[in-house]
Amino acid sequence: MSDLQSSRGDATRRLLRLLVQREGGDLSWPPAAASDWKTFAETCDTHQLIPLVYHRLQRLTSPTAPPELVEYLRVRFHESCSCNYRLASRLVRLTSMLEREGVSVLTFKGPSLAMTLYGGLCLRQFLDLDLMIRAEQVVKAAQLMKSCGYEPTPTPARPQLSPYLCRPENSRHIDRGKEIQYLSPDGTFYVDLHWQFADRFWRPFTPDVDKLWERAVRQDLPQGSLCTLGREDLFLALCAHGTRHRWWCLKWLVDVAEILRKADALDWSRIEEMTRIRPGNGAAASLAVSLAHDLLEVPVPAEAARILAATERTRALASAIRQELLLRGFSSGDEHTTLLALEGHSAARMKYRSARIARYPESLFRQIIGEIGPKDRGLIRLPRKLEFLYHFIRPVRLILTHSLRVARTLWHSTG
Amino acid sequence: MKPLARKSGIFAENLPEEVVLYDKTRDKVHCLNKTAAAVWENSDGSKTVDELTRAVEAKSGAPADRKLVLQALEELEEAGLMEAGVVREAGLPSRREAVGKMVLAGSALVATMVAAAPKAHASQDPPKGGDPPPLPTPHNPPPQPLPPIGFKPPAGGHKKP
Repeated sequence: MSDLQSSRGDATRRLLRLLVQREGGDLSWPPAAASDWKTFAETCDTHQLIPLVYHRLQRLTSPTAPPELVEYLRVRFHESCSCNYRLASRLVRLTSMLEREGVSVLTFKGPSLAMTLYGGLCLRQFLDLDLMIRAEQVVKAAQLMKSCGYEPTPTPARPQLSPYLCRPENSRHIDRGKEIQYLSPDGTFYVDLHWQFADRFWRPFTPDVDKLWERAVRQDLPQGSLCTLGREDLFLALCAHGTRHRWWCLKWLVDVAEILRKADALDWSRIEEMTRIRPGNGAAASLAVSLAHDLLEVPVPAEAARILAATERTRALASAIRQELLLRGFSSGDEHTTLLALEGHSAARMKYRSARIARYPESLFRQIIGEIGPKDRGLIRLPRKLEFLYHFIRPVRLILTHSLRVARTLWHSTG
Repeated sequence: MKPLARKSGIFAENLPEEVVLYDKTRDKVHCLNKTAAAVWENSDGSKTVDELTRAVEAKSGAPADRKLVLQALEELEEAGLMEAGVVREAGLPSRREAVGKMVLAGSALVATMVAAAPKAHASQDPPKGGDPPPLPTPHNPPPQPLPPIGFKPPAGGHKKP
């Protein structure tokens, strides 16, 4: 592990300790950590927890945090406040316009989540807006967005969301995808227009969108009112979202922890019913609760412990993610390995893998032949001049490994 | 004259160490420190500056200076958080004097934030690989996630915008 990874791990552990100390408390800063305040600040930025950390530091009974850090957090907190209120104004304007034109729209995450969890917009950082609409209204909503100057666009991080492929008229995209991403007319923020929480393969891990509308609630923001998810849907949607991203951003876990702290407001029988219909979503929620308990010391309500009991699978995944966060300061963020680790049916896993190969043959070529890993090098040591032979050794090794695995599975399944 | 704070069209978010005010009519955000917040909250049109100073003392639990209260009133008025003209008529120092005091005090009591327009960036771009994730700044977008199963990459590969 590199020094940078190690110092990020230290910063993340410090951050977690600070998040656990909700009411005052003390958190000493050894001189070494004080001189390395930038790593801590970067970690807070990465996990999008600047406002919360700034206020937790202010409330420490004997503040020993480096003054440079406090000043940095103060400035960033003010920037975040300003950005949040601005985004909330745009959100209310946009949802009002869509509703006026007959498009049912629900907001989730962003301003409405900040309001639900903290009663204001300042303590939660957010950078874009998320809207949920009905699949059959995507075309209409897209036209309205376009008429207001919003442009469908990929981000540098998500170039696969090409406007050409993700056009609303593309029924294939509507069926398999989950969103179209728009850039605001002034080019300062993105709006994700969702009709699903996840792409087709991962939908079993998310709440049923068809039921969202029956349980939606009206919410007041300082800028106006809008419709948002019911609390139980919100809880399960947050669990699904964080799990899909392997909880690489601790802000998502803090959100879940805040909901669990206000668990009285949750109807657990409804959650039980919802997770019974969608066990994948229950597994994601179980993982979320487990991580929130382990990392943020959130007391788990008895109902939650019963309904979302950790299985061997969720425990193993929680442990892996916890290790990644504590040692390196971040998790890999890979949705595929995360959700496949929760997937209980081997048939579904194989279906997913084969569909992925059919769709991305070039990725198969890269994975099987192109990428030489430590296991290949560990099999046989080749001199530098003969390293090209690894490209032949690797497919043979993979075929043997997977054939053995399949044979073992078949052997166990037949008795 | 007794200072009167503008409360209509203002949404207040009380945080442990400061108060954030959102001016709905002007779409502006103001961050008040403890003193400024206490002055704004107690400026109900019934208290003189001296009474206000005592009220601020009682609220914050720390000794308050009349000059500091005057400075807070000046800044609140500049931020549009007082009823128009009320502070000026109360015989407060000129803007120049107030600025001089602000410098002496070391920092402003009211931070007004014009809704800045940063460059857009998506919030859910996961870090990947074995190296520490780059910071998600607008100039340093996080690495690309794997393509979802529902999409075929465009011919010729992905192009960064």
